[in-house]
Amino acid sequence: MSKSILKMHNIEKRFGPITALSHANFELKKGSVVALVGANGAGKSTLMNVLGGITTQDNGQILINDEKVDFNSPGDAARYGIQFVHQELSIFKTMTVAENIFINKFPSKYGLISKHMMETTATQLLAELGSNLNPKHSVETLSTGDCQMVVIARAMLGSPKILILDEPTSSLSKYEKEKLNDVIRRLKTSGVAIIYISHFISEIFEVCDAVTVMRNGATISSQTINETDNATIIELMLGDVASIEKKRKQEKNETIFLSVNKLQNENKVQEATFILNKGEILGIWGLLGSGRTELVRSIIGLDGRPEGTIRINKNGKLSPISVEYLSQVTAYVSEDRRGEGVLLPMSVQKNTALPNLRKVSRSLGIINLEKVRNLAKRVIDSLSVKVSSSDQAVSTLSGGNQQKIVFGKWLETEPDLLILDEPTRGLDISAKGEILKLATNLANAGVSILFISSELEELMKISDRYLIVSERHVVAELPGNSTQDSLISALSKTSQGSAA
Amino acid sequence: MNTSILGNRILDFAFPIFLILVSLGFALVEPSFLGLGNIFGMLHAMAPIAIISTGMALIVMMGKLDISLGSIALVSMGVSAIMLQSDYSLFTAILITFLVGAMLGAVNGFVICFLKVNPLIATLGTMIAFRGLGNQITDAQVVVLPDSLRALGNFSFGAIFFDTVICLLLLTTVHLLHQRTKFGKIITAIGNDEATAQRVGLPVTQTVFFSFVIAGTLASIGGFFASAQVGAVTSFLGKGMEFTAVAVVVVGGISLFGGKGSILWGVILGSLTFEVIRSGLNYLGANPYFYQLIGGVVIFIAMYAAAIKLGRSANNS
Amino acid sequence: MVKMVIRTATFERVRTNLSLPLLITGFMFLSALIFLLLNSPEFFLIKNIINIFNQCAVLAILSLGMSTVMIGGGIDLSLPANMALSAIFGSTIMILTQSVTLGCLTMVISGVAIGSLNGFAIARLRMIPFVVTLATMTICGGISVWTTNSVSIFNQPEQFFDVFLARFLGLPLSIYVLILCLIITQCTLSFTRFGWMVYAVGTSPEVCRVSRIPVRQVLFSTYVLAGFLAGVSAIVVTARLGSASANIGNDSVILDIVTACVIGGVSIYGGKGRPLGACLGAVLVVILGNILNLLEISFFVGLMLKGFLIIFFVSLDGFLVKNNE
Repeated sequence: MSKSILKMHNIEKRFGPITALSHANFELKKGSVVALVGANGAGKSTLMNVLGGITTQDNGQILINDEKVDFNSPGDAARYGIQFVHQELSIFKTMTVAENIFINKFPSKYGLISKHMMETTATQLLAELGSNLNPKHSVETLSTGDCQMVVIARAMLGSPKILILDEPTSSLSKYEKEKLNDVIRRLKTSGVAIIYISHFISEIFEVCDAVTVMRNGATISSQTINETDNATIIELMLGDVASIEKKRKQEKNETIFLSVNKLQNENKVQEATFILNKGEILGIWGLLGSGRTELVRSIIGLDGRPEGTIRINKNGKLSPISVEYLSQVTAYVSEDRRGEGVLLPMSVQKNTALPNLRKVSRSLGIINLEKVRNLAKRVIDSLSVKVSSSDQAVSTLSGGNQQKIVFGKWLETEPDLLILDEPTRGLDISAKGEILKLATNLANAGVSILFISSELEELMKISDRYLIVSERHVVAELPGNSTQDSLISALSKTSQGSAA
Repeated sequence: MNTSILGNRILDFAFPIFLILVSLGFALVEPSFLGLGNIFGMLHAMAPIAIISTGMALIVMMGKLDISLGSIALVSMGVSAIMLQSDYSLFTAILITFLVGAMLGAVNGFVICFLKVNPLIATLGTMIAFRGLGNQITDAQVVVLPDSLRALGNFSFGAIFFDTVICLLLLTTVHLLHQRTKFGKIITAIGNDEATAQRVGLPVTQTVFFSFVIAGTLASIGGFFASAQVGAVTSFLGKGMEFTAVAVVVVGGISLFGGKGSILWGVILGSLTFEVIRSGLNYLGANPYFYQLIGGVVIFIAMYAAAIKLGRSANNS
Repeated sequence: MVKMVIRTATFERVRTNLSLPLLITGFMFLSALIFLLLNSPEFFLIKNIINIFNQCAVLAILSLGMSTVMIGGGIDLSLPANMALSAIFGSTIMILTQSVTLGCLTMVISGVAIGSLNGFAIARLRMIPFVVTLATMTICGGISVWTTNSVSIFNQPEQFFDVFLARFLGLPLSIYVLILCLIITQCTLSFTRFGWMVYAVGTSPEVCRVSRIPVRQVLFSTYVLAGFLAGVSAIVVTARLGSASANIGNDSVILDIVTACVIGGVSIYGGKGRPLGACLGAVLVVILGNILNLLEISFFVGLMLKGFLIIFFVSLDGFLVKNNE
């Protein structure tokens, strides 16, 4: 029975009113690979940040080799042999492989860098990882997989006992994933314990010995990999969803509004094909990183020009259109509210007016201030936005109210297509309910809706049909009366060994 | 894919080729242009701007700009000139000059690192303030420097001038600093992506601060040689030098976005190019202000070429 | 730290109309006026006030253009050089054709053309505004000096001076031009679709992209507008000085423009401030200049003061932005 090199007991962490971790536990045995999984907001990142010394826990203990430790900085964690490889690779493009590896620890003699020693050691480290990258090469032309090797080699410099890999496969090709798995096996053999954070449930079965599932800030289960399977893990991640009351009457008449055929956007979207009916809510489900956001952004041309055909219903006929055309009739509620949703320092009035400038202006482009005020008032009233005056800066509103402003401003554009990307994230229960109700009303009025959400419960409440997205592919279209089980199995079945 | 690589290669060599063509062009009109005497003369004349450009290159390597370098030169030499007039020793005056340069560089560093003002605006402000200070110190009058200094500025071992040697020495030192020391690597990292550099735990603030101090010191050295060559400090000292320094750096292939280029070869190529243009125009008897125009055009062309290269790489990824 | 947060929270409500930087500027303005009242009351003679406005007309018009560009998130260092070159082109045409109209038209067209060059490089080619306009400034300066050989052009037709130096209701034409430009610029930014888009783009180009705002076109237009105003100011300055030369675009003008905008509450980072503020900032800059003269403080100390003001206001702006997010 190998010893536990790491034990985290009852970790608690709050950020203001939000509890990120409440009863988080984690155990790591020497030389083993443990997967850490959980939906967005489950607490995985926070727990690992605590372990990596990036934040400090409010309560709870961390034990390394049964010895209590306190981390106040990443440096502290490093001293105990913990190295963190983040999802966003910290790579310097114009520098060489060797320089990237040694960026924090250049070997030097009399102040000058010992280039030869650096390159020799780099070659050695890379060889231990099974990579034959030339340390003199610039990183600029390397693939993501190779860049990752470099970052892992950098982590290895610290002779870590515990290595944290955060979403290591999210940008890798199939071949590179296999290479990474080889590296993990090698590291395991050399005695390094690895924490493997991932959303790709099927992949963890290939290299991990055990899996810990988190939900809502707490650890729900810890099992060895043999004791469990795909579907069980996903169920644990999502929790028990009581029978969902359908909030929508199922419409029988189906006229196609939008037809997307073999949409391809470099490596962001792979051959996506689906149909959206008029007045329908199509729930798009998939795990984080599966490409749902990229899909919806691609069809309105926000991320470059995709290939493939997009057709919409014009006067009863399906005609091909450009992404620019589609973007003109589409309202896009982005998942990044602060960065793409609202102009924080500006007033509510100015925010709601922004996509509606033509509507509130007279001839010669002169703005009709009264129309602006009325438009803002309409939004505030119809969505019950809590604000004392429409002159207020949006930055003073709560997250939920800010989201309502985003919604409201788009609704005023009277779109034919509404794209909702995680619209209820960060909102309280009543606000969530209001948003769902709003979407339903809009669909009833004839607006076609693409609804992305990580919360299966709300998706099931209002979706007429489902689109399952996994690893950049659209893998299934399911009818509205699908059960939770069938949805989960559609996702987990296709997660295994899908063509890359 | 092949055509764009070829295109990029051509762009890389564009400026060296341009330099060669222009030199040959001038040589056709005036054969002695490429004579050894003239070449060493050009190296002598370009030493001050090359030294200042060395400091600028270090800053640009981090993806930042410092347009106060010319004004720093003025203040440093202003102080120096006053001291020399008050009978301080040559040695003390020179030392104080460089110290003042370092201090003013530190002011820039302070405003940028601790007040967190954008380097462009910060050095715009200090450029103006320092020029005011410099002119205040010299009362905008021409201050004549002692003969010993003028002799030093124009001293030569045979054909090679003293300031050319110093210039090469400084340039090589800074180049080695950039290529072979940890400090230099951190500068390249910052030029790549400052946020990533912070994330990885590199001492970004200290490195930026010291780079500005170095640039300030180099500016004062450049100003020293510029004044020494003429034997006087005028209120025109350093005026426009910072813009020329940017042009030199850009022509020398050091990207304004940071992280790319060779300080040694970049500054040599850039300074030579501008010196050839200046001296060639001089020979032809062209209007001296034509030179200013050329500087602007060259920056524009260089940036256009860089934009094309960037656009190409964006299309390929 | 807590105190600062509370103080900025109280300012939050007042923020849409006032802000800490503007309060400081207001304070400087009042102090200046009080100082003048006590030490040099003849300052407040109508004749002198008119003179002050006349002095700052050119600076104010240029600041109007600069403020538009800054609100959109950019900067244009080439405005004074643009003005000088346009004045030279226009004067040359005016002398050649002996037509005042044609000359003035040329100045404006030249201003727009140079502005378009900047706008194209920045909006279309995505070059860095600071460096591009720096290059344009050098080019315009070079062309100005080269074509005139540093000699002023002063034999424009008499009618030109007659028209532009005339006074209506006691006020010189230049002031009317300023007021017209002020009204047009301020109203465009406050009350038109275009104006609101400029503020939005300066605040967050990403949000604008998603909201279907044509970001590139908006940016391009700000530089064209600034160029246009540079052309207009070329007319005013040539009339006032009686000649056109490369020197009218000298270094201290750009410094004064940036100072005027920054103390007038226009943020370097974009999305904040008003053309009216920049205009008043120009007035304050000229008044401060006069005060420094009165106190016999050298021009150079004035330069140091202006440099300090720019740094102070920009760092204050940056600090407040960080606090509020």
